[in-house]
Amino acid sequence: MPRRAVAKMGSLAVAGAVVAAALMGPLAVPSLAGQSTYTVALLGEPTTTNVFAQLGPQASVWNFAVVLYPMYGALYGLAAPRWDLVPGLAADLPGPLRQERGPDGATYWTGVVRLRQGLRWQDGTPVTADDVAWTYNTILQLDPVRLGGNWPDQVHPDYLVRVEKLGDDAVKFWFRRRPGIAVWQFGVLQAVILQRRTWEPVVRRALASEDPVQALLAAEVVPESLGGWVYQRWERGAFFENRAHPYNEDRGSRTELYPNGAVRVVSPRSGYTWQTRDPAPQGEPELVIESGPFFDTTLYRFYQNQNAAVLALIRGQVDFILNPSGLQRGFQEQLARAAGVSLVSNPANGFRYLAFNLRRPPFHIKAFRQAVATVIDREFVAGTVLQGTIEPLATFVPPGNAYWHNPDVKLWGQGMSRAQRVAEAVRLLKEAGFSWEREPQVDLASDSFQPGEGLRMPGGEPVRPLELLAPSPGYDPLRATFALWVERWLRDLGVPVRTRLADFNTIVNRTTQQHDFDMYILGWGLTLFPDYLRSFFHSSNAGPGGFNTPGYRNPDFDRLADRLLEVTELDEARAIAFQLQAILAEELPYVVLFTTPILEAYRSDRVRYPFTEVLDGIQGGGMAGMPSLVKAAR
Amino acid sequence: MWSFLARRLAQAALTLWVFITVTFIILQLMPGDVTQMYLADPRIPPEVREAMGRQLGLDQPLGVQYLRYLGNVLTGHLGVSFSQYPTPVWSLIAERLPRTVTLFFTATVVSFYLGFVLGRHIAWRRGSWLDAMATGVGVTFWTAFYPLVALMLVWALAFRAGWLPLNQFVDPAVWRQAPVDANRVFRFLLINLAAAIVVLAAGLRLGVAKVEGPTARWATQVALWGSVLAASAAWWSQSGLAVYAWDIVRHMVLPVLALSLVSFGGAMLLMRDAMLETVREDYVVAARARGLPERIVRDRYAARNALLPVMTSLTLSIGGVASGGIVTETLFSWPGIGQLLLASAVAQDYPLAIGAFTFTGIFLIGAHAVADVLHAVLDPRLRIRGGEIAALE
Repeated sequence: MPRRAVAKMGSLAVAGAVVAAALMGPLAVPSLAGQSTYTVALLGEPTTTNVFAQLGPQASVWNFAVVLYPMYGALYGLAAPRWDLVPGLAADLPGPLRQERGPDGATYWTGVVRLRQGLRWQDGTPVTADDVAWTYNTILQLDPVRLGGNWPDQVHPDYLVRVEKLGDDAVKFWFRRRPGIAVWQFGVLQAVILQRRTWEPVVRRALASEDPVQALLAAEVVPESLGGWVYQRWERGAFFENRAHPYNEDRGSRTELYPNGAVRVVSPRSGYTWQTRDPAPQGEPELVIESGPFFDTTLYRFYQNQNAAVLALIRGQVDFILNPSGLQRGFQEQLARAAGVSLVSNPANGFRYLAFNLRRPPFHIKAFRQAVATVIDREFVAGTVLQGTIEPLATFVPPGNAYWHNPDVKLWGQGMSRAQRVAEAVRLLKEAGFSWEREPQVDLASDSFQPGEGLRMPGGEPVRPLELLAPSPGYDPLRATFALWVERWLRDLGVPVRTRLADFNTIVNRTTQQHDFDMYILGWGLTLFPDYLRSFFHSSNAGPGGFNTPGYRNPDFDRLADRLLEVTELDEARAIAFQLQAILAEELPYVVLFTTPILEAYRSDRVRYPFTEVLDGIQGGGMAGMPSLVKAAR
Repeated sequence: MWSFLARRLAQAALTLWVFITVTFIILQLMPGDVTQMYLADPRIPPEVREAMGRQLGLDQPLGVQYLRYLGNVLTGHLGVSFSQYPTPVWSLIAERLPRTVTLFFTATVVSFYLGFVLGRHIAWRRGSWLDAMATGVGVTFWTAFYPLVALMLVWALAFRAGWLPLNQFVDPAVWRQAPVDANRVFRFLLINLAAAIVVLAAGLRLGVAKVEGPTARWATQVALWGSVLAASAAWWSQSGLAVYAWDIVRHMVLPVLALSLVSFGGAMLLMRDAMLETVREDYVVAARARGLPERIVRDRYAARNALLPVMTSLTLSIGGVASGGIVTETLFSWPGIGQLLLASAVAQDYPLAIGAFTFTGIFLIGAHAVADVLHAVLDPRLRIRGGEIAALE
């Protein structure tokens, strides 16, 4: 045979061998047979296991999903899907706040929290009052503002002075002023608790360094766990694995939610039982949530694009896809056809909004803002233009956050036709003294109208050309589309407005720092406790860099918003939140436009969740795919 | 020669400085800064963002920030990342570099080798059916929309057929109890690859070239390749890491295939054109007239001289492997330097962006310098006079 033919055949044989071997699969590996694994696809990757960095400058949903949520605990938490306040490491709800004289002679507000007994860290040592007190005092000592990110919100250094250990089973919190529900139950008491044994030497070394905060944030620490999971392995860029906590005393515990709002927690393994007293449980629970873990390991696989994660889900390589913004609608049909895959859609706890600059005319006139709100037809854009990819939303607290949502606020233009909206807006503007070069002509009988032209201010001068800033379609096509419709509706009223689609950072810079804008469209992710209403609209936040970008100033609102942070009773806080929502619905520094439903997919032939209808979806509210609650389907 | 090298190095340093400065200016011109990543969370007060800005030195004048960064680059410290504060920039680059280089270096070598062999062949048989087919296929893939090609390959070979792994660079089932991390295996793979190339190049140059007779030369070549492969296999086998290396190689097949498919056409056409130039040269005609076999004339007279532009292109491509490719890394879930560059630019993480750009810039500028020198050394018509390249006529 000619030499060249031999060479070619040899080359082909080698290439064929490589391809065949590649197709053959991996060589022998250590067996993991018998281990059950819950696999989650992450569309990003964690960057650190250091909890100080995770809650500081490296705060990200990916870090929280693999370390913070499955491993760390707090004195109290919020139980999905109703988000009831329930004890975590605490034995019962906190005792009443009292005024007390401190060792320095000053008067403080104090509150005592009793701790559960028998809970253990992953090394088998008990969770003690010493761990709790040390955690708070250390964070205060390190300066939470310098730690950055979420740390100030964890300990509220403007309120909390120190935490004192009372024996082995209780701690006392010392506040310089009376903390309200936002600071107390929904703030300090939900801070993560660290193991002193793990962190004390790390903190000591950091404090001895030139820059303690930087040294602490840079420390490489294997996370200690008191949650359902402990750290197993992190293959950077590829996957993160946790295994079930070996000393988890809450495995098998039940959280019972009753129709009357009561909650009961029963932990057979530790013998712990707790229930609400007012209201007390009555009748049968509407939902019983059993706590696991029910799998031996949780495996988080990192994918860099949604298509890859969706293909992996369909092929059964992952059980659930975790992505904060949900899956793109384009995958809905493909996933709906896939065998063994279920789709679930839930409202997001957030909103996209149109903000006005109240420092500038004509936005300083309330009737003008109300007229704008009236002509905005959310249902039309949601249903006809965007084909159901968004959910119309008009309230500052979304209905999904049921406890805090005020369902009785004024909804401008609700249920009106286009012509009726224009007629109502014209009425509002005329009553406020506006006029036109050519007034919009509405014929309600035929439900039609002729657009107006040349809107004039109450003083007679023409309304100057206005600019509406919105993110470009590349960043968010939904907001870009909505902005173009808002422009069109305002032009119907004779308002000279032009939309400018801009880079996200440009909008943020112009609106938060320079206040150089007329109107803009952006969005917010929200918390369950609605203290964000104060952040967004309190006059103290109206300066450069503050969140009150519209420059809204209302002493009545400020007073109520301050009170929201001070009250200590849940019912009173709720009543205030309702009043704040009513004021905002009338005053309209923002017009809330819509929210995006979170579309999620999971392998219903492999896993079963205790519930799938919940605000922010299966991944939301600190659940990150519910690794401790999910069970095998069979 | 030394004067030429010194001049080239000075030019490279100047280019690098311009590159760093322009990158810094462009990033500064973008509105906002990294602390805006906290703006989406209403619980985080403005003073925290301000404190973060101070911590990162963003409160300093622009000139100070620039000089500080230049100083860091000169002293080899790329600073700390803003978005992953306080992780050193270098550690982020070092984490991703082995993954990126292994994938893109392999793909570059494969596509150039394929392009070289095919280009040489079709130029020699210009007008044949093979010429038409290879040119058609090469140009089709070369001009195809790369993400579409990649997605179709993933869909066909991994999703539908299940022959190849679906995304990522390792299989967790293999690696969950691995005694080492993937980066260590990537580094060993790179060392293995580099050692194999050096041994093969040295063997071909010093050993095979001196063997008389085609059969003996062929046998020596086979022995050389066999020895390199056997030595590699033996090392991996005794290291206990063969299973992990093999897993990575399996995951490389799809991205390397996609990259090679869309880029081999360029090298092939370059080689083909260069060959068509050289086959008309007098020395090729003279070689034929002397009655030398066709293969000898093609490989030793035409192809060897046509290789220069291909070598230059290969050198520049290898210089670019460190920068990875955002599309490839995203589509195949292969997080590397390309994605790091993108993420740092989007987050306005100046130290990370400039660090990554500087690092890849050094590779590229270095490759340009090497290509210059290589060109001068390999092309007998060029000679260096007074630090400059002069053409002999």
